[in-house]
Amino acid sequence: MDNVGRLELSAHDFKATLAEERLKRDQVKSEQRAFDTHRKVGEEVRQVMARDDGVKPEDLPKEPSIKRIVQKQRKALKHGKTK
Amino acid sequence: MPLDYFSFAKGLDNKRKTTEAGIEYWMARDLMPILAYTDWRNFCGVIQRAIAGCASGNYDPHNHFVETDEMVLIGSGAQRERGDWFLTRLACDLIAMNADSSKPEVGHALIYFAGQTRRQEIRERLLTDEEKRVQLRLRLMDNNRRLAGAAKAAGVIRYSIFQDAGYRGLYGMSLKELRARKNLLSVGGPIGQCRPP
Repeated sequence: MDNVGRLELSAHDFKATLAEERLKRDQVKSEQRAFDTHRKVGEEVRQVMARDDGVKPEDLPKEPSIKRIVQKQRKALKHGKTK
Repeated sequence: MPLDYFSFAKGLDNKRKTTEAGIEYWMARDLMPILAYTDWRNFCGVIQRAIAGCASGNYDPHNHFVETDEMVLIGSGAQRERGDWFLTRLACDLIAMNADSSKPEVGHALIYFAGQTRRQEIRERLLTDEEKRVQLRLRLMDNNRRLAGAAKAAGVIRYSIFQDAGYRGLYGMSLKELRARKNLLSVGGPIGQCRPP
């Protein structure tokens, strides 16, 4: 699953940060409530994307593997080329 | 002047110079005869139109057209200033676009500069997009690690269910269903995967 583009990566990043904050702010102390919180935050990020231009994250296209990009960059560095 | 494309391209290759930083450029005085212009003032008009075109695009002309005054010896042994320009590949491309298109040399120049400019532009754009994705991915891993810490503090033991809850919220389906939908083989873990601390 590293075939994810910038928009989708950003969505995950935002979701993770928001969920972390909310778990702390609401002082969640139950596993089930933590599940619900994470799900709700995910839904909210989804709504923001849908409201913006109707894009659904599950419809975003696959992109070239990030792992392979990193491998390629390392290889280039090894050969003395600067990025 | 015989004019097949390859000898024309060779003429431009021969006049190409490179800065210490590796940026290629041409001198306007060298470019002028190659584009079959004989009058410097006339050619300066073409340069000015190219600069105007550059400014109306998304490029800063100051980065692509640099004027210089070079001192040259004239017949009597006295010195006189002779204007010239340092021109990047993009600048040369714009000059060709604004030059007299009835000259066959200008047609060749358009092919020579445009093709390579576009190719370079595309390569640069791809590279930066890739780099941004790598950066985003690293940041996401860091933030997921922090989220995992907060989840653990909140009493989460079954981290995979917690993770799946996030997927269900964001995608309206489980990770398994999402994989099937995106036709991704089950290689690697979830996006920005990390283990709970």
